[in-house]
Amino acid sequence: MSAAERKPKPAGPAVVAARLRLFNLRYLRRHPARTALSLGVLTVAAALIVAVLGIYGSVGGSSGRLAGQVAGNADVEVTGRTDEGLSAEAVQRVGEVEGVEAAVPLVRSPVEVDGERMLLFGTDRSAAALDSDLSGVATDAVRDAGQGSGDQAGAVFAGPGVQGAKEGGTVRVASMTGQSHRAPVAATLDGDAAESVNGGAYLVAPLPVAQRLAGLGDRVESVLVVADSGTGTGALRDRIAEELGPGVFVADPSFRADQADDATAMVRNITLLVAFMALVVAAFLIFNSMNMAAAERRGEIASLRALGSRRRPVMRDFLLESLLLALVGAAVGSALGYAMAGASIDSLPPVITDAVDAEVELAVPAGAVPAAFVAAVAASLAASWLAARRASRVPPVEAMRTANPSADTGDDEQRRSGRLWALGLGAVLVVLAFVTAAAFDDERSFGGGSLLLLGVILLAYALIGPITRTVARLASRLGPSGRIAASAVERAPRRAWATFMTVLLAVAIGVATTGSSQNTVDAASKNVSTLADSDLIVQRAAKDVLPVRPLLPRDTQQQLADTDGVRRVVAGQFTYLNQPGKRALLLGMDGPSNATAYRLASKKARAELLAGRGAVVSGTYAKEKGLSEGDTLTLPTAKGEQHIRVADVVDYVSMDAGLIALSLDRITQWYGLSGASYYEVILKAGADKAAVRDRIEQRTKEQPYPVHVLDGSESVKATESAVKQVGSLALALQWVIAGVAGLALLNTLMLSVVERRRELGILRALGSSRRYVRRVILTEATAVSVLGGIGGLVVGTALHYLSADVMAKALAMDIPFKVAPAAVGLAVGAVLIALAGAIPPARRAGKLNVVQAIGYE
Amino acid sequence: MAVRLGRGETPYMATLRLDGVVHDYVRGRQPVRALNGVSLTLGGGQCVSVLGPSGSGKSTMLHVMGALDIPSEGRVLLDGTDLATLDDDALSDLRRRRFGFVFQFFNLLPALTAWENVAVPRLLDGEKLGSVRAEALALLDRVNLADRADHRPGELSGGQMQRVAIARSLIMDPGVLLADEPTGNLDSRTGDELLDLLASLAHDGSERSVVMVTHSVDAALRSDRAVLLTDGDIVADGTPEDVVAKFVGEGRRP
Repeated sequence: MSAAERKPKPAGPAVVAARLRLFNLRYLRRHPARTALSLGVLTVAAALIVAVLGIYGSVGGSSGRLAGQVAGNADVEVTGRTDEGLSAEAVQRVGEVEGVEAAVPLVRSPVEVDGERMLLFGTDRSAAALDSDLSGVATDAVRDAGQGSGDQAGAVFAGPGVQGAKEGGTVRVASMTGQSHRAPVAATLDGDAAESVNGGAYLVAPLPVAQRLAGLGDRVESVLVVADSGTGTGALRDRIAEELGPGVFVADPSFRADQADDATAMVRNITLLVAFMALVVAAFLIFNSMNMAAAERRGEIASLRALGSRRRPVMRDFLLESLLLALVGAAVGSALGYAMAGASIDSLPPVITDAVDAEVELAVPAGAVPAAFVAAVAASLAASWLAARRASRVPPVEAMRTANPSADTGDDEQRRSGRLWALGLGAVLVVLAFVTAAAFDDERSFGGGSLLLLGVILLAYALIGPITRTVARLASRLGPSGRIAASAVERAPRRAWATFMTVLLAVAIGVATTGSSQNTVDAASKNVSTLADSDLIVQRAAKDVLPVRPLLPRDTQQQLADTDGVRRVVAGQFTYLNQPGKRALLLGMDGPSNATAYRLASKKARAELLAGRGAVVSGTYAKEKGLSEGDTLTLPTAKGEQHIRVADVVDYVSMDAGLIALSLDRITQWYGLSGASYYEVILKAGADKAAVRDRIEQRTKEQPYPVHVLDGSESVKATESAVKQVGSLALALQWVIAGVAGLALLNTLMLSVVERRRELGILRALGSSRRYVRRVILTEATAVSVLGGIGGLVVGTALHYLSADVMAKALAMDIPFKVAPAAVGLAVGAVLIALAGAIPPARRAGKLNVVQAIGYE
Repeated sequence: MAVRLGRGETPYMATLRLDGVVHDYVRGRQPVRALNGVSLTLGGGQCVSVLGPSGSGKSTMLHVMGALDIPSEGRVLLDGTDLATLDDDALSDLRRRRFGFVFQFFNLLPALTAWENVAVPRLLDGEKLGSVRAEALALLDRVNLADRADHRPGELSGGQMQRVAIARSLIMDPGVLLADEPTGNLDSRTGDELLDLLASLAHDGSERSVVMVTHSVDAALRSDRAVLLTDGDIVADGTPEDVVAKFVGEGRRP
């Protein structure tokens, strides 16, 4: 067998590593700025993915962590359908179910301790069966309390995170049920277990003490169940549900974490989609860099091919270089993302943190970093694929030529057929995007946005010729310097196209995000605007969260009604209904209210609601349960299943499974809840609102806990603000994307200057001023970014239309599509940022040394 | 360390035959015929120079000889194997193992040191870089560049770079060494030294063929045989003195 017929040795890892080191890494080292730029954009994109997943994952993760710290060995948690909890009898019945080894009663109530929100735990000695962090702390506390003196009766043990709690001192504990007590502190807890539970922010007390402080009477919030060794969890869950009926909710102890995850899922997914778009924009920058690298190294690659390198290893080298960049970018980005998530946790909008009882601590999901790595690697490899393929196809005979022909010209048959495919596939994807958005009425419809962008990218690839010709034509009309800029665009169509696409995507994402967010805020504001008709709203919850808890006592209603200038007071109560999957929101009212659900309902439906004969439900709930007006709604309640007519279906913005509005009497009868979570105050005609507000504030100051008195319009603004806060991260990310687009333009123009060094040098030698040369570069940038901006506005508007439709379906409410004027401003802003990226290359071009530039090979 | 004198299965003696080779290419939109039915046979242990004016097709002939390009018509046979029957991978393997190339512009990889450049073909052949270092250094010693082994091309003169390129062309012990205007970018003194070096490679007992495309009469006179190409045809093939006389007599000057 001759040498030519003999198969070459398979390249081992050492050889592959040596090739990578010699042929690729040294090239990267010779171009530190370009390498840093590619790494930088990958780092930013990976960081955004980890940060977004980390931030939203921490919400559910903190709840999940707390569930683990509390529940330990428990297999099942039994709780009430709402905050009413479980009776002592129900606790006993759970313990008697076959297969239950231990049934641990638990108070796990949010309280305010000296004004700070934290958790109050109460349990008994049976908690030892849980073998959890909490049971360790709690059983010690229960035992110590049992041995304590009479002075310690009713005392609590304070977690290490309770500020100001001292052994022998007292703390004021305000419950969510509207009661307040001063409780003696038996001891402050320390140790790892004590610190780990809810970040140390809790009180723990023997069960009766906790029940009294939480205002639960003889009820508990839940029972944690440990199954005996021969009983499966599923079977036990079914048995308990059957034994105790629909009045209880039987679930996995981590169900609150799932509820928190579900509540934030839509916001997380939208923000994540925007973060992934940053990666797509970054991919275009890498596409440019790798293409330039392939063009610059064409001579070297031709030499390697002449010396006998096969095509595949050349391609492999390029892809490995790209992989390495992605891995380094993802590693640094992941660390940065962790830091960003950590820094953002403390400033999360209350409307998000309110979704969980637990102290929100950094809990980046296990999949976040792998997701960032996979995404960065996929984007980098996809962006490098064409460049790698082109590099591998460099004919070896080019090594013999004196000068390398331009690497970015020509349009062979293969490319033309590829573009025809792209045209067809792109058109199909665009159509499919709208079909997807129309076909699904849940979060799957978000896929429409991704399909639209992918389709646009493919269409733009197919139209690379017309796009670059249009850019060149525009450049050539921008004065004499434009003609030279136009020739540069025509010579390097791929580079011009990739930059055009970067600007287009940045503007499109900005326009769509801003537009759909603005439309959603407008629709939400309009939806809750009826609240503005309430003269005053009195609640214990902060103004920027839904007033679910804490409750105000029912006698507060009379006190408010007795206030001079007040005509009437309507009690309202929000509470969550536990059900499989997302929890739903219950709203009770005892009179004509300005609450959205009441105001948007028909007159007949309002009357039915107040009479306790009907329920008004939100579009989201109706959609999920397949209900429409006139149907019978079956509700699981503490008194068994109850049936009520659906009086009307109305729009209502909610992060949960939707809203069910009932009369307050029904809420009290069916769920045993008393009190109100807010009161609407309607004044007498001619009453001085400021004076009445002042009088109410003076009265409520006597309460042992803070009470907020809001103007109706303040409440609407607070809701608007909450909706804006939810979308604020996605909106902030669009500027990051604009920044990446600016870097992309800087990169591409810097490459243009490097590639055209000789040409620019000749221009200078022929007498062109530095300013003229700078203008050539800036003209190219202007043509690319202006057309990219216009394209972005068009694509962005289409994406905005799609997003508004998708949001409307996801929220089951009417969100009218309206072009936001701010979107045009944003497009201009993004184009200006991109143009700013052209300044350094233009300056560099102006400063070229003429002699060196002419001699440049 | 002594230079390794063989690559095992690689035969030093190689017969390269061009049989009616035609090569057309397109310049702009105009078809151009670079070779017009060239036939030629090269045996081992010979230094052959290919003379001709600019555009006569001598570089194209070198390209098809070295499997860098495929002829439009005719056959190129290496030890009886028609190169047109080989796929791209096989041609790559052939270039790596059977041919050595010396380029006019040296074509060294700028980020690599001199010894690493010399070792590149062996790396492409799947060998570890470290295991080739000693041989690369020995070859650099052979071309009198041992003291420049760790220098990068940017730190070497033109002559030194071409010496590195020659050392690189020898690292696979090829049967045929193809040089395209090897002194075209060098001053005359350096060029003379390199021509001596190249000519000696055919007579070092290795039975290697050296084919050198050149404009230079001096270069041609150092070879064992010369071929004169004009407008894609071989118009003379014989002793260097006869061919040079014909070349000069026709008034063809580079």
